[in-house]
Amino acid sequence: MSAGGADRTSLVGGIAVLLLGALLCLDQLDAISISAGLAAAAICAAAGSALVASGLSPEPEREDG
Amino acid sequence: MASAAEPLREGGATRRGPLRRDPGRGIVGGLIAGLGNRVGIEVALLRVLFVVGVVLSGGLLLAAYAIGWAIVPSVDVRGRLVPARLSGWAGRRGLHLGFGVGLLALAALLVFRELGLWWSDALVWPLVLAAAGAALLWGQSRSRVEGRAAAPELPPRAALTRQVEVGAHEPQEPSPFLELYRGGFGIALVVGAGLLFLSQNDALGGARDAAFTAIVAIFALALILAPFIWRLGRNLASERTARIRSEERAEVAAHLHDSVLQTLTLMQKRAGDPREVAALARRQERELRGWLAGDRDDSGGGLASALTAAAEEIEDAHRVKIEVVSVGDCDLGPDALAVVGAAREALTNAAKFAGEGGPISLYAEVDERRIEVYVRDRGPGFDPDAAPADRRGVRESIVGRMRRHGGDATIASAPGAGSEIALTIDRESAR
Repeated sequence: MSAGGADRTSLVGGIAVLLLGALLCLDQLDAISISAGLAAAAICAAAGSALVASGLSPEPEREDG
Repeated sequence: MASAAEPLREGGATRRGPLRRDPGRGIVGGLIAGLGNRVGIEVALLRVLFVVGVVLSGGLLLAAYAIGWAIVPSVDVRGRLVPARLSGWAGRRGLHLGFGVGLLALAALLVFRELGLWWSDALVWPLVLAAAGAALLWGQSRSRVEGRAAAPELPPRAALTRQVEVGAHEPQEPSPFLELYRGGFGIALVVGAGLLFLSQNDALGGARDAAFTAIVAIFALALILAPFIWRLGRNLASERTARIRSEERAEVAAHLHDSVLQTLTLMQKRAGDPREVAALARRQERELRGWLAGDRDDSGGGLASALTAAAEEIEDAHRVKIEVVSVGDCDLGPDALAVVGAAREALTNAAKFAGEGGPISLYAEVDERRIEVYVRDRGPGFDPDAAPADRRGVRESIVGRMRRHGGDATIASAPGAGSEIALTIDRESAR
């Protein structure tokens, strides 16, 4: 948690995992049908989003003393 | 790197130069807008071509866009250069960004594959591998070039101040081992992509088994060696940083000794004359402020004039006579400045301890290969080996300073026989 609000990396990673979970839930309920390739794509997208958010987040401020 | 300012627009028009993203005119990352600036084609037309290209290439163009967004620098609204997102692979954030962009590109490719907008596994996956390897190699070479361009030479105290400010959070320069490993990984990806392509198209024939064995062996070896090389690289970088800091601290200590401590000694000697004490304090304050601000403490000329200025300054401060003879001259590079600093300290010592014995002489000789400076006095002399350990003048400000710059200082003195300090150093151009 950053001083000014939610940590960007955690926020993006959390949303990505939520979407991924919702997608898999819908698949289990037979509401949609997800192939292995699409599931792999979704997992890659979730992990990639979190990593990009981490890479773009500003450096944490130092706490001197 | 982040502060590199390179105006790309002159008089409102963008001049033709390297490819730069233009986020101000872009929709996603500004890569196509930047490409339009670069090639002089309408951006809307390029966008249409891009969408068609994404569909026709089975998503490959989208992956290429993601990589381009990460490795192509951009321009801000004022036309100044902003470094690429992925400039410098050394940091944790750079690695996260690189892997993140790679995974997003992979996800896009998998979606296109599932949708049937796909060429062939035998073609696309080798292409993806080759592109990843090429991006790794290109990013590494770019970060090296940008790192060199963004590392201006700082005066020692400014460099030290910067090191103290950034402390341990400053990203360390990647060691040659790490660069070699990353470069090797990039090359392995490209070679692997070529072999995969040949294998998928049955072009390897009987060599397939041997190639497969070699690839697996190299991969296993790389996995085994990775932590050792990583640790070795980190240790080397840490050791280098510690050595640089130690040398800078020694330089700062030598300067403080030569300036502040000597002035305080003089002020104690002349405590009975308040006006002179105040003048000494003002002069020292000016000198120290200038030094902290990074001003070079030479007299604007070469070595000979710097030595003369130092001698005049010490004559004024200590009320002694110094005879200066210079043969030849050279510019005041770091090594010549070290000679001036050491000579100044030798003159100060002579003025303090041998000023009553007659004039002090300073003889400097400069030729194409080396600089030699001799400081002689006719004072009571001293035993260099018997100097107390806490006295830094001879040990650090003269001998230590010369050795740090690759030179040497020899002291010939004996009680009752005067002293001679010889400072010698090879010139930078002769090394």
